[in-house]
Amino acid sequence: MPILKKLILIDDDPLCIKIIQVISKSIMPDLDIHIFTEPRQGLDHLLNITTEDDARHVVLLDLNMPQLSGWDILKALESRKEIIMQNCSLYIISTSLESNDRSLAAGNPMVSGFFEKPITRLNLQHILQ
Amino acid sequence: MVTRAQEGYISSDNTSKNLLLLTNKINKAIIRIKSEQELFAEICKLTVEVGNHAVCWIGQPDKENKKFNAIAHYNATKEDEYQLGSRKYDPNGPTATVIRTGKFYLTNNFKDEVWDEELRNYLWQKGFRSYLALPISKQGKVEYTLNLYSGNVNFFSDEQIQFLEGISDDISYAIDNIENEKQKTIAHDQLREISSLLQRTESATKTGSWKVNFATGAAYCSDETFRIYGIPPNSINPNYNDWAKQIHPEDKEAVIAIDNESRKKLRDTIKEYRIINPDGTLKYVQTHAHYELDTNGQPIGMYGLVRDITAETEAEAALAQSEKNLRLMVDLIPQSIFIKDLNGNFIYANKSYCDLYGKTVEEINNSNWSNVTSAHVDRDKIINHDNEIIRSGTSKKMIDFPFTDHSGKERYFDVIKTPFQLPGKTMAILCILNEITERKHTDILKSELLNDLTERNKNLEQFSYIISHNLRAPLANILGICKLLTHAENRKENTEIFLEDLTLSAEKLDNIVRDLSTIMQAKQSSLPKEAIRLDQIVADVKHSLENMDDFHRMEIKHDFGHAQEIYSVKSFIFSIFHNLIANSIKYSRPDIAPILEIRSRHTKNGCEIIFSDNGTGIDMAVNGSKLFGLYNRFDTSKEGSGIGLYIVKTQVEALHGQIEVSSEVNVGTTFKINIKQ
Repeated sequence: MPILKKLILIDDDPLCIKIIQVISKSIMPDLDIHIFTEPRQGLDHLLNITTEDDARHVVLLDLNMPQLSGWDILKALESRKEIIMQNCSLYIISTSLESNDRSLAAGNPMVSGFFEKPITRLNLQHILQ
Repeated sequence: MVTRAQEGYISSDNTSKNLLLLTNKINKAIIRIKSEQELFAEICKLTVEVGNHAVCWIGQPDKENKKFNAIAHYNATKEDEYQLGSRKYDPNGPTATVIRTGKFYLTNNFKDEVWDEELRNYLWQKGFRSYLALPISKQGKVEYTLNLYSGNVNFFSDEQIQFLEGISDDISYAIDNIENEKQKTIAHDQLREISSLLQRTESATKTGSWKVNFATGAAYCSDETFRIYGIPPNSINPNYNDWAKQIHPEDKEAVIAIDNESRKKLRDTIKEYRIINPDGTLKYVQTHAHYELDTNGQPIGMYGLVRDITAETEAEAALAQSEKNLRLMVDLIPQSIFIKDLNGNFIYANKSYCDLYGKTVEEINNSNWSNVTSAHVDRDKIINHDNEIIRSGTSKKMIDFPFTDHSGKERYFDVIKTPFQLPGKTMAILCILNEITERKHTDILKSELLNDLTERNKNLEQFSYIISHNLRAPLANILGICKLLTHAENRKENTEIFLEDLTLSAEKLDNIVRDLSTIMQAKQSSLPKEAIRLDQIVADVKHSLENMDDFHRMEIKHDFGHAQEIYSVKSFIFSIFHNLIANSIKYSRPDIAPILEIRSRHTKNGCEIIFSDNGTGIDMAVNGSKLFGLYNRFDTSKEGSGIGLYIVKTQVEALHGQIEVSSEVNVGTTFKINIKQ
């Protein structure tokens, strides 16, 4: 099993990122965290992951973002589905209470899970280990 | 060679006794025989057998075929017949001469004859020596000849000729009688036929005839007349009082009055009335009575007809009733129905149609469409439409036809028009109007309700989205921080890190609740309106935005020269100006001097206000459809709640206005607001 290399956070809410950061550091102090509050930049980063990159990445993707939503990013990644699934564990994080969002997430093979905000210590422990 | 003459044609002398016997026998034959042909045959036979002539034949000229036909003969051979009769007609021959002159022709010795050598030779050779031809007349004109031959020379004495002339006169008289009898029979047959035809006609047409002679008092009534009155034919000798007895008591006085009046003036009458037959049957009759006058103008009799019109009278009554019933039905149905001719004259209109004009059926039926139709109706269009229906011969529909009735009420109809043939070849238009006003109103209400529901549903979806994301985002952060702080590890440090975030999140939550409240208010109608000076609004907005970044860079120009003041809800107008001006400042380009121009002008329904800037612009192709949506932000590099344009749109619409946007990236954005007043 490849070792966990980095945590990629794509969310336009800086406070939410700050909370995840604080909790993550307390669980795994030397974790490499990449933060994207601009969804476009986050997508570009994910598109650049290659097969040679044999580390396991954890991606936390927010749904409700201006210009490019979480769903838009997943759509854009469709062509590189195999690489993402091989190298990443991708989780949706959202404030959404709509069951529709959950079933959409469950139907996408790239998505490993759906977490409702706020993300708790328990959630992150589960994700990171 | 033995000739017939030599053998037996030599007659014994004809004595007076013989001639008397012949006359006697011929007279008996005349009395007995009723056919011309038979009589001729018998005469030929008697003349030979009793009168001792060798051969006798009766000839008739056939002028058409130039022949002289032997229509009867006795004792002639076939050859005789040919030679004597069927030879070529000689207009100067003895027979033709007799026919022409009506006098007898005599040859007592063929030896002296010169008229036809060939025939003379033949006769001589056959033994004939004497010949007498006598005329036979029919209706005073010589039509036949009686031809007698004898084998003796000088056979015909004067006495003989005298007798034979008498016989020929008797024959003429006889055939005249036969002819007269024949004509009488024909006339009688014809009369009988006519009488029978008349009877059949009377019976078929149920028309009887009658006649009265005033001098003799004799009255004649045809069988049909008796039958109409229910009396066995000829069972009574009818008179006026007998007929009058049968007149229906209710009609009697009037009928007798007419008869009395006509009697005074000798005037012909035609009457229709009821009669009651002896068996109690009620009948309707039509009678014609005519006076017959003599040359002095005095009445000598009367004649006339009586016709049984029961069936047609009852049929007419039934038809009239049926029409009345139909009329009743057509007047009861809610559809409006009328028929008008090509000149627009009403032929028929039902009650429902007349009610549209507030007129009676009689008033409409005596008028022309163009005089009664509503002033709002496009007459030329209707007339063209009608002509097209007649031309094409097919029905046409007009859907949702608007009509203003006599009370001024606006109504709607589905109209169907079809060509309608009047008696004769004249065409007209049949029109049926089905009122759909109620349905139309219901449709409008439904459509309004549907729009309203759609709008509410959209709002609910929007609200659900707001709760899911915008309202929950700060709430989730607050919860996240709280959970983090409940964890004992690093609590003091974390409290310091997150205290400000907690405050900001709570403020964010508060802002969203405030925004929602603003929106809810905008959705409530009937806020008080007032006169608002637009330049004052701009000044107030500018004052409230003073602390914004870039505010002092922005040049705000305004030109309200055309519409300085509007009458509206002040808080909405302020909010609209505030949001649009703030947006222009927020999205101004740092590389050029930002300018916002605000103009106003009056429109047909109200006022138009235009906001035009030279800012960053919006990519309309990508974001145009989401521009006025709730919590949609396109520029993540700027602070914003994503609610401003949504509020602007909600408030403009609450003022029954519209907002439009046009924009180009790095050129600028223009908002056009139209507000009804």
